Amino acid sequence: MIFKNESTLLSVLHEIMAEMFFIFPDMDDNGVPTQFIESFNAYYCTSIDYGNGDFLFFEWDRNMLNSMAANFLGAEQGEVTDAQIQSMALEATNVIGGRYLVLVDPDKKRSLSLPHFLRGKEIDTYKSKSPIMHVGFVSDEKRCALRVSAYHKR
Amino acid sequence: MSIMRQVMKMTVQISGVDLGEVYEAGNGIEALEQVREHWVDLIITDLNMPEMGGIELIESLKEDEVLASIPIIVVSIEGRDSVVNHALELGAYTYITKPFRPEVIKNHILKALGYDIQE
Repeated sequence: MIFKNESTLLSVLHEIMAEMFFIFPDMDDNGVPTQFIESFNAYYCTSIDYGNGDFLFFEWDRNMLNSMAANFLGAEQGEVTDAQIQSMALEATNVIGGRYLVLVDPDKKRSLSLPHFLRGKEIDTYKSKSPIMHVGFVSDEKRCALRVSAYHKR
Repeated sequence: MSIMRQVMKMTVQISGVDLGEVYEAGNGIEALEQVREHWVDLIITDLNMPEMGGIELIESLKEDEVLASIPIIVVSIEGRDSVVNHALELGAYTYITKPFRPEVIKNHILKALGYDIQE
């Protein structure tokens, strides 16, 4: 497996979310990133495939996606459509998954699939087998979170 | 329309240059159909697309006598040297890695269209 590197993955998440979507890491008083899992509500699940059975699996909070899309488009949150929120989930999966691959596979031994949504039983399979990383963020002074899992399909 | 294409379109529209019509496509096949139907000054493409990706699109454009001279800007998450160099060797005008700032896209667009810009 190429992506058992949680610190790199965390750095990529923080970098992409801040630079592209203006969603910033939630830090505690000691400057340590929080997990903020208290009010997490997964709405969309996405995945991206690296070949050889390796995936990244994302669980997205709808409000967080709404903020990301609004910031990315320079729009108000109330103006963002459902289609834009769905597109935001796929685009963010694509950018995070791709940036991570660049860092962990600089020699290009792996390729990147298109990002895709997961539904029903697929999600249960991923959740039951994957270590889950909870990552806290702050958007417009509100705390939110993203869950990301590394998965190896046997 | 994908949110990335929306942002690209907005960036082009606020670039300060009257670029006229902006056409969009969801993959390389649709892009080829668009450029064969409409004369365009510039193509901005991702690499990671369904059905026909950006590399195949660049190859097809460069093999076409009429379309070969259109400058192509690649905007992609693929920042690995081998991928970037491959796209440039095939004839892409320039390569921009995501995440990007709209200002960067704007400057590359203006350069590709032959405008002098201050770095």
